[in-house]
Order: sequence, then structure tokens, then C-alpha cells
Amino acid sequence: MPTFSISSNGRLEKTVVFYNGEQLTGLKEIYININEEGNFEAIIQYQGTDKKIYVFNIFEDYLINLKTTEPTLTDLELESLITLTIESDGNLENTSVFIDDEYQEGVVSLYVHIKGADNKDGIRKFLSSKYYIPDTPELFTEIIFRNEDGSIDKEKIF
Amino acid sequence: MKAYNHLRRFFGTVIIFFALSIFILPDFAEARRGGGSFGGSRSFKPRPAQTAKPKTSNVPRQQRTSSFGGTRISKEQAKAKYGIPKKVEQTKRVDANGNQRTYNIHNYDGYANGLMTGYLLGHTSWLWMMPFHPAFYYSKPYYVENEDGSIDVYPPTFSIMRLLIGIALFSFVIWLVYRLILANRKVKKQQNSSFV
Repeated sequence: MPTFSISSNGRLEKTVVFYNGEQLTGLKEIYININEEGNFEAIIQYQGTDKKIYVFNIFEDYLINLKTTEPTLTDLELESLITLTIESDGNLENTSVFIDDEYQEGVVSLYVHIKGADNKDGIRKFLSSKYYIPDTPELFTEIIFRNEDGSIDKEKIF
Repeated sequence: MKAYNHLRRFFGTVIIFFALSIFILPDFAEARRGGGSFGGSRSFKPRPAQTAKPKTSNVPRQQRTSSFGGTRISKEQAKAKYGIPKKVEQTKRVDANGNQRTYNIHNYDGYANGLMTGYLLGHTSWLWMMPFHPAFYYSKPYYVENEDGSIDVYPPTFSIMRLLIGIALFSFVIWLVYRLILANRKVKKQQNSSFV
């Protein structure tokens, strides 16, 4: 069963993603929208090792030409981040959510949308005076829990 | 990523050379073409029509002064600009057409005077076309053609235009170095994110 983890402090430049324990790079967008009503969307868009852009379902498809890298963060740095882990085979019944290795129960919905902007490339990137902050970054995460008394809690993950 | 950085540095270097070429190569080519300091810009002065075939000279090419380099001005302009010289030396040289010409070299002392001597003797260097050499900021010698056929030579003058070009070039190089350092920082930051 694939394991997908996102470690972040809420800022795109400090957001690392792991797929089955391997750190990914070259990601463009991640969209996860899972809820108890049966909605299960887990999409990843990335630039492959062949420079092509791929869009796949994270838990159902085989992610070809995925770019991986050696871990870039130290254990200490990783500890300072919040890690969301999803284990699933694409079925809601077999989906487990962990936050900082803690199993989460009573999840009503999970929404994650992380998008790295289309940065300038090549000579334009070199000549640009802008620092590495994408023009239109997007990092939105939300998890909704149902408490024992039936009330609903909405929380941000990172 | 490393290959990408190398590529970026390569482009940076190409840009530097390209920028330097724009400002320097024309002068450099001119210097090579001349092989000396006296020059051919004089040819634009209307001359009596020659019906005979072009003159050929027996003087070896190396001994001729170049037709290129320097600027021609009028005698009045030269007087107004330079005033009375400290010394006027007279020398005879062969011009590009192979004619023996008399050159009146107006000495005023100072750095420009040394440059003028260098140009006259043909002892110029490609370093003079580089913005880190003071000669880059000076014009070529000025020439005044007299009615008797002799030529007055006046020393180069400081060129504000060349100063601006020099400042622009230095600013560009500093900016480029700054960008390279910043680019390295970018790469380090990028390594902490899975998103490109």
C-alpha cells in the first residue's frame, strides 16, 4: 500500500514530500480531497526525469519517471515540521491518516492543495531579481474531525 | 541540478564576453587593422580628383602609419580646445598612401601626452581597449590637416562617453557576480522543497 507523506511548516520553500519513504523533487502540484462521503481524489503533477509533465493518481497509478533525491533535511529540521502521512490503496476503507506519526480517527474530510508556481526558467530565471518565492504559491490544507459529541472541528494541518 | 547550474554559469560567461565584445571589439579590430596610430579617417576630406591610376608605394607596409584611428578636427577647434602647447615636435612619417608627411606633434605633458606618443609610434596594446586600463577612457589623438600638407597631432582627451561605458561595464560585472551568488542561495533554498 503506497505511503504518501508531506512535511511542511506551512511555507512552500520548506515543504518536502515523500513517496514510499523517498523524498520527491520536481513537483508541480498536489491535490488531495478525501471525505467520508466517498470522494477520493489524490492527484499529483510533477516533472519527470525526462522533463515531461505527468499527472497521476497518487495511490492508484504507478508514478513513472518520478524524480527522487537524497533527504535534504536533517532529522532536527524534519522534527520542526509537521508531517502528514496518508496510507491508502485508493479505497476510503483502507485509508489511514497520520499527523506526526499519530493515527487520526474521526476524520470527516481531508483537503490538501499545494501548488508550486510556474517559475521563470533558463536565462529569464537567471536575470530575474526575484528570490525563490513562486509568483503564485498555494499551500492550503484542512482536516475536519468529528468529535465524540458529534460536533465538527476544522483544523489546518501545517 | 548541477548540470543546470553549470549551464547557467556558462550563459553568464557568454553574456560577459558578449557585452565586452560590443564595446571593445570594434576598437580592437580598428587597432589591428591600423597596426599603428595614424589613420585613414583623413580620407573623407575632399581631395582634387585623380585621374591617374592609384599610386602604389615602394615603402614596406609595416613602415606605413595606419589610415585609421584618431579624429580630425579643424585648426580653430584645436586651438580653442588645447591652447598653447609646451612643445611642438616635428617628425616625418609615411602615411597609408605611401606619402611622406610631416607631423607636428603638440606636447602638453600629462598622461594623454604619453598615450599620444604610444599611438604615434604604434605601441598600443589590446589592454587599452579594456575598461580597467586608463587608456580606455581617452579618445584617440586628434589630427589637423594644414594647407601645406603637414598634419598637427593633438593628444587624446578624456571621454565622458567612455567613462559611462566603463561604469556600465563594471556595474554589469558586479551585478552578474551578485546574481551568481544569489543564484547559489536560491539553489540551496530550493533543495529544501520538493516543489520546483
